[in-house]
Amino acid sequence: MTDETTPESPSPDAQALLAAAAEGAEAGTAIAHRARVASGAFAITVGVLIALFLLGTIYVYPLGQITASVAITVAYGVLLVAAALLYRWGRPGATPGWRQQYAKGFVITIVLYAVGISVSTSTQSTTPALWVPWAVATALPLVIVGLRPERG
Amino acid sequence: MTDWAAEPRHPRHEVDEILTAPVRLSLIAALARVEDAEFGVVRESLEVSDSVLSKQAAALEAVGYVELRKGYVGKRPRTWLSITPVGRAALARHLAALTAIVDGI
Repeated sequence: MTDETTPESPSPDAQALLAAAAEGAEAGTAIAHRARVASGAFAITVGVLIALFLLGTIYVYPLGQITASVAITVAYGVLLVAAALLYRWGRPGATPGWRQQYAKGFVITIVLYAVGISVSTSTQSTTPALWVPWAVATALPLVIVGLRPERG
Repeated sequence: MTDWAAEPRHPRHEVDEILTAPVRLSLIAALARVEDAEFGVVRESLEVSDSVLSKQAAALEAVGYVELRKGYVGKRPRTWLSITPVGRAALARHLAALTAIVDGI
């Protein structure tokens, strides 16, 4: 007999519900993992594209070859849009905090890109010893965001 | 004589009726692990049909536990599901109550 003050024996319903919650949490973890892989790949792609565009801007633009410059700009734009569309199309979800992490990485990458362009314009330097590491540094924030392990 | 007011409330009183449906509970527990998730991916992960997921998601949306965001990717309609802060708090309370019942507290 059960009344208001008598603790019930472990309820099979409660156990079943806890099992359902555990199954749900497991499914959520799997979704989060898929989301992390997709968004990580996207962040790395964007970082590498921006770094390559920096190198293209520094080495090809000053040559004054209009066709090559236009080709690089168009290729960059097309690849960036394709990456964004593919990500938007297939993204299974987002992990908590992903948008903020990506936004931070993107801003740092863009700042490094802009500073690189500014330095290149003012110094006219094309030495690979400067620009290859600079390009790597430009891509790095988004690559780090992309490779960052999942939380919890 | 028992002083009813002084007796601690049994944890079953904290059980959330909305979350007593197993699929609904699985859904909200899954959403608690992500910022948002695409409808088809959730359906596949929870191994339920479109209609079951739609119905349970709508029930959770009606009480403000889940948010449904509809949009398009190209011409294809997509729905994104996410848990709200109210839903997260309700899930935590519900799980605590269930755990207390199972533990016989």
